[in-house]
Amino acid sequence: MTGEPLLALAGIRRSFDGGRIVALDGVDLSIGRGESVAVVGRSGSGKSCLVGIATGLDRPDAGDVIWQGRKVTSRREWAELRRRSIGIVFQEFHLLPTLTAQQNVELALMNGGTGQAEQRRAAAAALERVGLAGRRDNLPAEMSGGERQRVAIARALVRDPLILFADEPTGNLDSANAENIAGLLFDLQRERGVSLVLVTHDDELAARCGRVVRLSDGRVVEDRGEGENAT
Amino acid sequence: MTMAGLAFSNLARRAARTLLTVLGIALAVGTAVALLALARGVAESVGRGLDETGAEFVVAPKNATGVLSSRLPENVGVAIAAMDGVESVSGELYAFTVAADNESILVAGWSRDSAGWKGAPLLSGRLPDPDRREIMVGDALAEGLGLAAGGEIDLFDETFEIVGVTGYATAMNRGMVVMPLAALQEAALREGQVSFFTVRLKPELDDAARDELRAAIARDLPVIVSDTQEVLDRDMNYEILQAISSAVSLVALVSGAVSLLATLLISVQERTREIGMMAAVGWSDGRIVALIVMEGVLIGSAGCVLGVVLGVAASALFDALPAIGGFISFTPKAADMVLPLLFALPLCAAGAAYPAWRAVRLMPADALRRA
Repeated sequence: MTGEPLLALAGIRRSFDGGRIVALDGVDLSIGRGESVAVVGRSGSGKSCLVGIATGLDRPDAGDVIWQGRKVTSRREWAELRRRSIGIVFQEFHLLPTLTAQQNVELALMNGGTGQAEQRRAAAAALERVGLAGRRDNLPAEMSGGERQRVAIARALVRDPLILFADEPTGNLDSANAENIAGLLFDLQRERGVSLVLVTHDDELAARCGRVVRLSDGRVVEDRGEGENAT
Repeated sequence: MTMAGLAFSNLARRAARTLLTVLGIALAVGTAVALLALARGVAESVGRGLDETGAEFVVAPKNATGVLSSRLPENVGVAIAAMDGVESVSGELYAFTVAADNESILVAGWSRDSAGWKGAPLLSGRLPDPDRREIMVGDALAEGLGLAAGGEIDLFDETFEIVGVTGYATAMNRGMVVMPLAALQEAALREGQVSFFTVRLKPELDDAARDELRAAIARDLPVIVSDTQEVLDRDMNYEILQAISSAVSLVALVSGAVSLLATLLISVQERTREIGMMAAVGWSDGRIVALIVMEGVLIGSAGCVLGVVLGVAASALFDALPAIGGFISFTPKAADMVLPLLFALPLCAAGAAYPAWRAVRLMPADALRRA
């Protein structure tokens, strides 16, 4: 990675249950523009916690999160970053059950001064890009797991973020759908130049990323990039 | 998609619960509207009742707490009648009694020269003879107790002959018995007393002269001189009724807001993960709060509209029932609706603000982890 990182974590520590459970213990990690980074590790190694801290959904006990050289601290700054520059895809799709696919994607555009016509146009374009042009008016209950995850990806990408976090995006899908979703994420990463942070258990999927970061007991134990050992 | 559209969609997801909450608020607002209409209706009924019987000014004791319960010596009327510019003075005595079937009845005793006799709208029969124990009854009372001209009724443990039935417009007068002043003074053991005097001034007096005469009466005698509205403004019974109505209305409105609070608390708790998701896609805390408050205001607005309709409908129903409408007038006016609405909508917004605050107090990651 060269130049200023897009996102940097410095000395991040996060514990739960009054400090008895340490999820992250002094994690340093930098993500560059356009990088694809797999975060791997066993259950409980701190992967999802890392995503939470790196996206401002959670707050570290200690350490700094630095976005393009500037420390991010307030909830307002984080909300603004997630609105404009950070996309997140979860293992559970988190779609609103009473809203159509189109409306679920529009939800991400409702807080940024985007007019309704532009919301409709951008959401339709995002759904078309993920292959759901014909399913815009369907409710989540009428869609397969793979289709729901595509809606969630469209929602995460509709604002053209600089970085996309995908936390076990294929964890709830069968193998065929998992492959389709993985393919879609890598295609989008390449064509848009977006940084991709992919949390996964799947070593094969991780191997498709340019860089693999392994966590164990809340520490980075391996940071291997582009076929060479970086740590 | 708009915020209002999203708020409506969220409420529609739990349609039964939303409707029950709307109904709770509607009942609260309806209760408030009907109670305030009742308080005002009672006051207006008394005021219009006095107007209807020809009162121009009312002269009552200085320390009177209620117009119908006050007492003045009858000879004060002689002093008022002697003042320059006074055309007529009529002593009126009011007393409550209980009829044979425990029905409370307001009885008026009018002096021989009262203007009320001349304007009495007789539906049947004739006016009572001032020297006999004869009475006329309001049509609502006649209907309620099955009375008619030619019949009899026991009042104050004495039997009176009904000689006429009146058709006044106000609820107070429609439920009232009128008899000669002397007969009521004797029956109610109030000899030589009146409740107040109604005074008519000479028509040629200009406004300045009328004001001067009012001031002179109040200065020379231990009385207050009021028009009918001022009489009501000073009436402690009316003030107490108004205070009770306001207090019950407030309790009803607060209970409506609490039901809204409970509904939104449950709704927000159920949707904790969704709220976490909204934060994850960049919704600010303020925006999330605004959405939840908007849901509260939507429920509150629907409840208010329905409540006003219910309040007006209930008032109309009460007004139409002889047992209620014959004695009390329920005619809601805009003022009776404004006050509950002014309270209800901010209360609903406040009721929604707490769950909203709880929703954004969590870190989004915690919200997303919730089951």
